[in-house]
Amino acid sequence: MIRLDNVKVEFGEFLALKGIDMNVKKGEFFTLLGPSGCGKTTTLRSITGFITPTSGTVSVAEEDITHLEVEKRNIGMVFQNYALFPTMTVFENIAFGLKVKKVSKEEIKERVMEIGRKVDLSEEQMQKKVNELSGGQQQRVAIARALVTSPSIICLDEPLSNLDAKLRVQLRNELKELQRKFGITTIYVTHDQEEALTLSDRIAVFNKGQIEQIGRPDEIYNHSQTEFVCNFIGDINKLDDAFLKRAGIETGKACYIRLERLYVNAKKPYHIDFGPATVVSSEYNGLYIKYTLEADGSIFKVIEKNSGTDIYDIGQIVNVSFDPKNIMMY
Amino acid sequence: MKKLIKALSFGALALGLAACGQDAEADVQETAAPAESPVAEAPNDTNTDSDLEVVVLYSNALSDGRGEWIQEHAREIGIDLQLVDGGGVAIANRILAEQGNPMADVVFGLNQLLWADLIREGAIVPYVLAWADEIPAGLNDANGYFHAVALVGNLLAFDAGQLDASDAPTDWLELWNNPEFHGRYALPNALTGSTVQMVLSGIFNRFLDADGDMGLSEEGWANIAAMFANGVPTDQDIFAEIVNPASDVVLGQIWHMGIAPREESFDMTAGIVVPEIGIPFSVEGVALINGANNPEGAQRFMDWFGSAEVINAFGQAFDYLPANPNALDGLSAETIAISEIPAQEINWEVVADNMGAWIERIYLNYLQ
Amino acid sequence: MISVKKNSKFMVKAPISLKGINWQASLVKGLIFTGLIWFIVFLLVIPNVNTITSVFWQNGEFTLTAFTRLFGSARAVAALRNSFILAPILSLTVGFVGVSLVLITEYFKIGGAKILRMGYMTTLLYGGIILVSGYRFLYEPNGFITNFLVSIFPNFNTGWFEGFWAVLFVMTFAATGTHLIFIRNALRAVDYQTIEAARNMGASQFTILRKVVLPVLTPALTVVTVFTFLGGLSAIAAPLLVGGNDFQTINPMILSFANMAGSRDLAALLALFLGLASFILIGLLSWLEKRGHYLSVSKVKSTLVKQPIKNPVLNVLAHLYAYVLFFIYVAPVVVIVLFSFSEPSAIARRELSWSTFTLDNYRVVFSTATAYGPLLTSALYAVLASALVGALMLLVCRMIAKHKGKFCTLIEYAFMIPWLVPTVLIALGLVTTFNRPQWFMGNVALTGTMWIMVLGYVIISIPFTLRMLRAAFFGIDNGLEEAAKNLGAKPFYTFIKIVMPTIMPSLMAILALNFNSLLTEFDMSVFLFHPLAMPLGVQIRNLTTDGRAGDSTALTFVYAVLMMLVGAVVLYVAYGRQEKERN
Repeated sequence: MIRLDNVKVEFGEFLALKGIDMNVKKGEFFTLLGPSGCGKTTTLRSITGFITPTSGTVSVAEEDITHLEVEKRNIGMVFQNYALFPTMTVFENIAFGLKVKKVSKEEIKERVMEIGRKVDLSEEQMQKKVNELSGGQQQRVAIARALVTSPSIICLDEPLSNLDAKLRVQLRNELKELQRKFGITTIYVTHDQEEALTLSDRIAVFNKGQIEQIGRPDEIYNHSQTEFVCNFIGDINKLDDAFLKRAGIETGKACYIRLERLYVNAKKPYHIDFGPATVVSSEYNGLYIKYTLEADGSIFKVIEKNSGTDIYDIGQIVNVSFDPKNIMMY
Repeated sequence: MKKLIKALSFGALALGLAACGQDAEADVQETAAPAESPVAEAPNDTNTDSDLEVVVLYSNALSDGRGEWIQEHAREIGIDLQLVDGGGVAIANRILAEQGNPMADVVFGLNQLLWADLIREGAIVPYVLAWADEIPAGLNDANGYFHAVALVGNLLAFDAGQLDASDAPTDWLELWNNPEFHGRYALPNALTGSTVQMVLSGIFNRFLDADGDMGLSEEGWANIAAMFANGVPTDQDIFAEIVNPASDVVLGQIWHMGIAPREESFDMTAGIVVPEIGIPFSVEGVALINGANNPEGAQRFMDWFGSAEVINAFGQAFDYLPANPNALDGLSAETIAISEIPAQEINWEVVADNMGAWIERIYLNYLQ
Repeated sequence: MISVKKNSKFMVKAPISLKGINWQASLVKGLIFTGLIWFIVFLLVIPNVNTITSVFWQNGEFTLTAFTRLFGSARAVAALRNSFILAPILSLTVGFVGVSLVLITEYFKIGGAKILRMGYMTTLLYGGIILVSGYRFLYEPNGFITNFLVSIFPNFNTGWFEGFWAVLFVMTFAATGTHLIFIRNALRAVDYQTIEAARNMGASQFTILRKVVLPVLTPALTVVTVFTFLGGLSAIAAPLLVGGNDFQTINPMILSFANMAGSRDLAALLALFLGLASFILIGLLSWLEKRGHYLSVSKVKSTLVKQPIKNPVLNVLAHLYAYVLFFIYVAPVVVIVLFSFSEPSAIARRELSWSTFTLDNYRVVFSTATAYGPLLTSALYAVLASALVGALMLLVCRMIAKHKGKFCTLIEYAFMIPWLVPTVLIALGLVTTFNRPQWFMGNVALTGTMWIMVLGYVIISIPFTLRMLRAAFFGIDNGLEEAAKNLGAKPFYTFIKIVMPTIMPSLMAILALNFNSLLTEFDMSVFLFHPLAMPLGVQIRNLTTDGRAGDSTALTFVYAVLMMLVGAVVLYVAYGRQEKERN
């Protein structure tokens, strides 16, 4: 559906994108993930047309749109700060794209009201100026505005970044539901790995203007191809020399293991037995509990489901084991 | 809101266009129908009145209803006069600037200095008028470029209530050469006006020296320096400065027609100084513009306007002093008195040539 | 929850167009560029070339006589120096007073802020000689306030109101009008949450003002300060009337020389000095603008709530300050209004009493056959010129905002040419250039037509309009335009629907200010007006100089009062109503 071939973007001397290749499938929820300044927003803007690549091609449905004007692309977009027009009402904001397309007045009204209902904006709110709305409401206006013209692709640039946690989760779910239901090809930019993992069909992890890995969330998570990716995604223990020595591993490479892949008092036959470690501190999180353990001067973390019964105290000695397959080496 | 703005801008435009129409109409109507004009009854046919030929008159002598008077009476000889009114310097500058495509047909008013500029730049052309011979020698241009219509006396005046006539100076030079008058006479702080330039002409002329610095003797420059060092520069009406009880100023320049109305509005009596050497008279004349659109009409207008009969009527209506000695009948005693003051003889050729440079020097070095 | 009918009849097809350049857009762009270059070359550069080169070339020879004449004159050098002393000091005092006015009326809780604001805004309605006269009536040796002070302190120096301090005083208060509009707009962009946040972090009121509020005002303040600086450089009325012998400035000289054929090179040279200073300043300003402007990053802005001043002593002082300023602003207006109803002799003697009250002045003005013709003429010209210059500068600002580059910078600077050349000389340049058919004007001679004055008015309004509009453009969130484009809006549509409404308040204020100043324009009009359409400025001048009506001060005041009324209505229509809608 959307295809980027060797897309390079230079800002003066600075090479912002060093040759991006990716292929987003129709109906896919595709996330561009990475720390700030990694090139994910630049990539998105190359797709929407706000940036023209220095070289390379962007195509949609086999059609080269690298040089097509922004306004002819019909790619919906939700901006990070929503970019709602402050001089217009909510209704006018949503209606804008339809008006531009010279849709008849009645139809505009019908469609705007319909999408308004779908994003839970009351009729009263529709007549308000956008700056009279709360952050969550503003976001819904922004999404409604991007969707009302029925684009085949929608781009979202960190749309949830400024919201409170609960609202973020709620809207995240709404987004996903919408996407799944109607199969709009979605490109989503975020620096929040949790958001990326929960929402995406596939994720492209960006670093320094390049893609480090493209894959399904589980691939990215379990089989991070680069050290950068494994560090960036999820919580992970970098295993120090003391740990490796005790575990009897010798590779000469950097070794990592995810928190939940260290087992406490639950040794399986195929596990390597790491042996006893002391609970140094614990972090209670409702759903799970994160413990910091110490053994032979090596500090590492484990995560345990909150079963309600097996809660370890600080100072308690526990037995740690792991499956050697789960060690990631770079 | 945008509707409001739209409405407003359309409204403004409509209003403007209406105004334009109205304006032009008003102008024409005014042309056609000043209060007492017999033509007043039929103002509407003026637009289409093909009997009237249009003549464009530039002048600095149209204030106080003079313009309307001339307009009204010009209709009697079939001329639709369009007026451009402005200060003398502005009018002359405008004529010079428009030389490539002149708008004016006739210029009326000005003074010898400005006439000299227009002649030098070729902005006016000679034309000998019907009444040229009736004007005393020396007033018309020798080569027929302009002809004298009226005279304006440029005087030194004082507030008779604050300065006794017997204590008054007898000549301009006394103002700065006698310490008694230091700080007691006003000078305009802009030197572009007609009156001040004529007064300065009268002073410069006394010190002409072909070998001197910029054509003036050393004594001359000393006088000029003293004149500006000891006068009080003012931006307001000189008579307003004179009558202001808080200021020491009691003397200043005035053109003769300006005296009476100021005596009235300031409730004062003015005395005038008549130097032995005479006073500089401005020659307000008429001349034909080089490249006029309607030279025939212009000539017809000039022949008519400067004739003894018309200029006499004009003089009577406005206390205006005709240059034509045959046109003095029935003028007010004050105007006649002015006409009897001797005219200072001034070498206009030299003065006009140098005036710009001299005034620049005053601005740069002497004005306070 | 959110759903879109995928196959609904509303499905809009994306226009299919293959890679390549949109030739239509390029054509429009090319035409606009060509048009702007045409305007600059043929309407700004060529007519003024003679004026500027006359400084160095006379009679076909290179000469420096203008320099030697000018610098040989102690008076001219002193005036030049004074101008350059006045300008920076004025920038400081005006900045201080201007910002304090805005804070008084918009930021702090001061009783009667609305009335105060109206008083402070009076300087937008009148200026020049009239304004300075108003101040002089109050503070001169036998002025009302001086007399009052003498009655309290018998030894009071009655000649106090003359020289540098008097000029600075008058001009400081005269130049704050633009602050009330443009700084105020900026202040309104302050997000109240940032103030609350600062307070929450324990910042004092003063710190909040200094660290949170003022930085947001900086871009607007920089622009108005540049105008103040230029105003100081080109001061004319104040030094002339209250500068006395010791503090004359350069512009009155420029004006005089510009009107003297033989001295125009001096006028041009002096103007060049001022112009170069202006250019340096503008360069500095552009650099500052580029360095940083603060856009609010808040997603949800909350409107400013007026701050009560907590310290009771400071509170009293602030109120005192506000009302003293109010008196300073309003007193000259009151005097002018009263004098417009006085007999000329009473004005000359500075008397105000019932016995000298008269309606004659108004009667004279209104009975003049041409009383409202010129007003309508000027109003039409002013509307037309303000609209044209507004449209033209919108285009230019748009271009500058979109294509940053050396070429655009060049164009931007070229549009500042009218600041390099005195108005009188611009007018003369236009008349002499266009008094014959020019091929670049479609072989039409403009001189003598109704249009040349529109052109002249447009030209002299360019610099102010461009600078102010540019500042407004910098305040636009780029994301809004991108959003509109993304929704399929063409650039022009985006401009009309998104950009225009955002800059509308500034634009309307600029248009209104242009209108008001063009309404009584004289220096240029006198050379360009059409015989059948005399503008107001010329009409007033004709009526009030060399007339036989004796002293014309009273008539001048009548016109001033009438113009204040017109100005107030225009400002209200263009600006006040919008304010209301917004509130």
